[in-house]
Amino acid sequence: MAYYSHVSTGWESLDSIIDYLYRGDNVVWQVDEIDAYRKMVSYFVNNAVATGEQVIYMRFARHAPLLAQRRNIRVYDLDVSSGFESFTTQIHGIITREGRDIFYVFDSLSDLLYEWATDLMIVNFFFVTCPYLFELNTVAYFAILRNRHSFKAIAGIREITQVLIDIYSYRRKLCVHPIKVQGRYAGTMFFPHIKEQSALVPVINSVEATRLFSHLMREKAENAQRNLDYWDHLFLQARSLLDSDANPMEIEDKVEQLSRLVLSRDRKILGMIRRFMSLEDLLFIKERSIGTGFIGGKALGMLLSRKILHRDADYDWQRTLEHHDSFYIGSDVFYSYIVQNGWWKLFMAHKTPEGYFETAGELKEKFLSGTFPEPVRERFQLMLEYFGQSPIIVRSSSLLEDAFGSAFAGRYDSFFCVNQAPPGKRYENFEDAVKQIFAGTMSEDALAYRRQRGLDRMDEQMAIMVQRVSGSDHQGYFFPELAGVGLSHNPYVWKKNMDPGAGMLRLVMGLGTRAVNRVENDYPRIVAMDDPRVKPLAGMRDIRKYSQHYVDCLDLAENALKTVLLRELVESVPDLDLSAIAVQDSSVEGFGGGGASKAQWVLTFDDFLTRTPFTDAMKRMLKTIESAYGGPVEIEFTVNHNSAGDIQINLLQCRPFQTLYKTADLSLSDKIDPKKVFVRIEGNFMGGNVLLPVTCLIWVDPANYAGASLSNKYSVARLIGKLNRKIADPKTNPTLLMGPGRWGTQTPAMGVPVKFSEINHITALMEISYQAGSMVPDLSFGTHFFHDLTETSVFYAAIYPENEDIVFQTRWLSKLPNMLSEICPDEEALAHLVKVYNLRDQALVIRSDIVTQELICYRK
Amino acid sequence: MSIIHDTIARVKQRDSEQIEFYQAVTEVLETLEPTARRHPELVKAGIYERIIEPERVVIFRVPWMDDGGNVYVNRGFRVQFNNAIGPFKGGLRFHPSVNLSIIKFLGFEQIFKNALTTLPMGGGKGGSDFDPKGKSDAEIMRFCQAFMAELFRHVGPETDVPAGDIGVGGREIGYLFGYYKKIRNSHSGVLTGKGLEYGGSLIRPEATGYGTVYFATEMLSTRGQDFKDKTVAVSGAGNVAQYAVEKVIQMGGKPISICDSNATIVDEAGIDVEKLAYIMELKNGRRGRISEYAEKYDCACYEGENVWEVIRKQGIKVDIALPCATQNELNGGNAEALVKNGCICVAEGANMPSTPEAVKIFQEYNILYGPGKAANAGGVATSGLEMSQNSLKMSWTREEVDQRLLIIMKSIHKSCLDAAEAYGKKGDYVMGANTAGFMKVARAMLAYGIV
Repeated sequence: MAYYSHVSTGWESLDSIIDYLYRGDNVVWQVDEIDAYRKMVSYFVNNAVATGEQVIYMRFARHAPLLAQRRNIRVYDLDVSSGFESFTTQIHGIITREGRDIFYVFDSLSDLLYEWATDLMIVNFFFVTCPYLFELNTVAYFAILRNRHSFKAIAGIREITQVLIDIYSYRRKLCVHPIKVQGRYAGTMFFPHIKEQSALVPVINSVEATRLFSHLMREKAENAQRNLDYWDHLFLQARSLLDSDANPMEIEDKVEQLSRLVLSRDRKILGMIRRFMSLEDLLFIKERSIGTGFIGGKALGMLLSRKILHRDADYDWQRTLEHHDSFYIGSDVFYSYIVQNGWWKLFMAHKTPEGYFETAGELKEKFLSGTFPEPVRERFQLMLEYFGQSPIIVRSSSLLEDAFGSAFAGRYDSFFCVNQAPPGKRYENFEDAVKQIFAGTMSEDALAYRRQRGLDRMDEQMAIMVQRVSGSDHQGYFFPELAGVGLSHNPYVWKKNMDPGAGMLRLVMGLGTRAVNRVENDYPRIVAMDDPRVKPLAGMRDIRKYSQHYVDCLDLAENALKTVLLRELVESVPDLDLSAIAVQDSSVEGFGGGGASKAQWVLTFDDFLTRTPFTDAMKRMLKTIESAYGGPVEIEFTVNHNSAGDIQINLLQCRPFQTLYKTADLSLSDKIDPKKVFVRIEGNFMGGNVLLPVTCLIWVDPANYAGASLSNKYSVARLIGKLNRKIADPKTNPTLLMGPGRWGTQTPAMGVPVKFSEINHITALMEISYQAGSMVPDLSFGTHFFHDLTETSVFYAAIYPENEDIVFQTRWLSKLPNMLSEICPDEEALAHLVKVYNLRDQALVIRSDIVTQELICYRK
Repeated sequence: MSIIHDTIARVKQRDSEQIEFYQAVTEVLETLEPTARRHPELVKAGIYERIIEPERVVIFRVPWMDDGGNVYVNRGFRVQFNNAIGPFKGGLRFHPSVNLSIIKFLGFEQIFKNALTTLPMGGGKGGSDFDPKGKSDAEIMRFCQAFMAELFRHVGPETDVPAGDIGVGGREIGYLFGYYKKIRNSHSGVLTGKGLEYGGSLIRPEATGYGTVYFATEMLSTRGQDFKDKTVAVSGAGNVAQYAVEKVIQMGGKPISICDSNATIVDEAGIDVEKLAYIMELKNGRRGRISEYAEKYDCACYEGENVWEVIRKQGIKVDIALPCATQNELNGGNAEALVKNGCICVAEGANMPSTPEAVKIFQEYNILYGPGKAANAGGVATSGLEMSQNSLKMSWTREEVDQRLLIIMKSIHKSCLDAAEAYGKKGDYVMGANTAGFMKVARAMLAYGIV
């Protein structure tokens, strides 16, 4: 009679050799073929079921099932294709649910290679799963196929597991050879045993043993490559395929196979990869990759869009496009980092609804202080040696980023490494940047965003792209001449006859961070591609005010990213030639009580946009990529001149058009109950494709406002400012502001004379035409609001109720209570002018589509 | 029915579609009720009926061609409202909202603004429904030339002197003046708001802020007081507020506050010349937030509240208040708090910063209250000075302009004071500002006979 803690393998003879299995054991069988494992499983399970144990079968491989569901045997069908994180998470969930003292049988782990293609991640899987099973006092069976994995992988598995047993056949007899049996020792335990009848006989005789082992060595002969991960193996195969004049079909299959491992599994994207990328391209990516797994959306978008341009035979992109110099850190490095530092359990806890925010803070802290596995560190080192003292940028490249249908713009960060310190310090800075990006996945912003979008259950897959910063050294300041963001579809058409399809740019001098991030009080140049000279501004004063005043650059002396006043930059870099991108504004008065006026540069980019090939090149670039993507795209770029004086555009990034929020599916609008439609218009809005929930409506009553005294009209403006500060919040209380005429006019008779700071927390702004005097909406946002609204992403629409083809139903509003006196008791006197409706219980939704130009706002 | 109400009713009936104009007439005439009661001769001479009718309205076609060769036709306006005391004077506005009602409304208000400066300037306004936004430089130039091709025959240094307004800045004034000069073959002062190089005036941005402080000084002197060692609260952070602070420092006062749209800072130690230079660099140069001042000089900073709210909640003692931010920034509650905290004088650098309730409280407690109409007339006045410089073919120094500004503010103050006293409301600057400008125009009109 065995002890309770002893568990039988179901084969008496084996039990006696290894002195039984113990509860807590993870048992790995190394086999030549799956049938040998099947046999061991059936001994074990039959015995277990007979003694009333509960067996769980984890079914995920391609081989035939090892067990069928019956009494005391439960089968879980698992999905491997969704990757390491979700597979491991599924299993973790099952183990947690099933609890203690359960017996487990897993399909062959070698099968995971089909989907994951890397030994490293199988070891990582093992690394996180086994200790947990041990903790729960279970017995679990695993199998790996011999000669399939790298030596390192086997060593890793041996390290973790409690029991590792080799099984092979020798002269058609079954041979069992325990390699590791933790905590047990018996005389002949680690000898090979040959099955004679039903008993296992140890091969102790040295002659027999020598013969046996030399036989085994022969079998392993061609295994020099097993020093490599399976991953490298795959690419070596691909390389030889390329060198061997294989037929195109075969090569195409290889492209597909590798793309699914490195680039994407999205069908739409895979289709584009097939069209534009070759096996050489994939091999080149591999050369520049550190670690295994995906290179992420940002890297993919950059590579793919460049390939698309190079296929454009009618334009000399070779001459115009600056080459990129990038490395990619594969998404598996992120997981390895978590697993190898022992944080996986915490990471799993974070994946539960209760732990989602709670554990994130702890993880974020930990992510900043972990250690990278030695091989990864070596590759980092080599890469940094390659870049030398060139500034580099480390950018997140999550798989969720830049994908079709999900908008993850700017949720994760980029970090500059100016690279001016000694090598040790440079390495440290770089590693810090990588850790910062990993920690960024746990930032509250990213978490809230993911949850809001229903992505919190999805894999993070955080890869990283490392790029040489495009630009040059200007007396200690390093920056590209120009940089910006381009949209192939202009969501801010501010002028009649302007073609939204022509696209737009947000252009800045210096690093593109100023164009990508929206910065308060500083403005990039907005360029409508069909009419690059026109600005949504009138007069030099406004042009000066709504222009770029600061330049982002890398300060080489201070080894840091710096934001410098343009004025100061011009003073400290006298050689800087701004004549093509700026004009001298002599009307600026001096400060400090007058004094001599001093002309200042105002960045307008006018000459550059109209007198160089830049605008045409950008137009073509946007259109070419758009048609390949089959929809609007958004790009990031820099511009420099080469020694020959030609413009060099560096395409840094490309993704399907990002919207304020998740892309609206407007086809649904037909299904909306017409009675619930509040506003429906065509055209007359700006802000792109949106799907905006609104929980609060601030309504300035057009009729009452028209009849109000001048003083009350100003009071309305100040009250809106108060409400803007008190209740409007794009995150917690998205607010729609509606009123007659033009918001922000200086003439109260034409609309509410607010300042922009009085509406800057508003989510959406609507202007209503009202037939009293000049209260007509101004689609062009007055002269000053345009830039502020685009910079803060406030959605804008103009309603002309007199137009017959629109819907504007306001009757339901009169049934709602006005919350004004509760929020601002002092302002009750204005209650007939300003109404505040709480819509938490019947939220409004604003949807728009820039292609069909349809906007609909309805009650849920 | 009084003549005032008859006149208002008449506008409503005759120009029913001109809503903005009607509103302006109503608001202005209602404040003039006392003048009609006291001066039957004005009623008899039909001054009220005449003053609401422009001397002349010119509406003209402005055809121009865009860069693509397409022809557009805009509508140009010049309303010459009243030239009883000097040539018509008032801005040109290029904005799509421009129509006859708006231009008449602005021109009507301009008569009284100009008259109040005590300079010889009549009232007018003009412009076009042209939208300069989104137009190229060349298009702007062509439009300005087409506009002047008609306007030139209606304006002149002795007739009508337009200035800039919304959509008409230094660039547009330059194009307009350039074309006028060409077709008239004369370099005369027909426009104001020009760049310094070709006839503009110094200290234009400073004028409003300086003027407000000069006006307050005059008010204080009626009670034998001055700025010396007084604690002064200033709101706003723009040109007006900055230069008001500068002048307060020069006058020996202690400005303690300033605010922008995000926060208020209260520096009990006082804002001195050095700190002011920092504010100017911060707001004009770096476009930063005022809260940075609090960090640099370690003083109190109140997020999301304006100066007057802060004073009310913190019970800060101030002697003088200069609201220089925006309309209706100071409400009844704020006014009560100011009075309670010992404030003796309020001069408005902004337009209508005090609500009607606040004004009532100031008057009730006999606070020296200078309404914006009068206290911030310095800006309009320097425009007049530019006109004078042009006609004298002279260019005054900053100091000379500042000196003249002081004289103008003194004279505005005096005319307000006199006008109020004439109606038995001694020291009521609201009454004074409302009637002084009008009375000046009305007397002149009376003298000219029925023209």
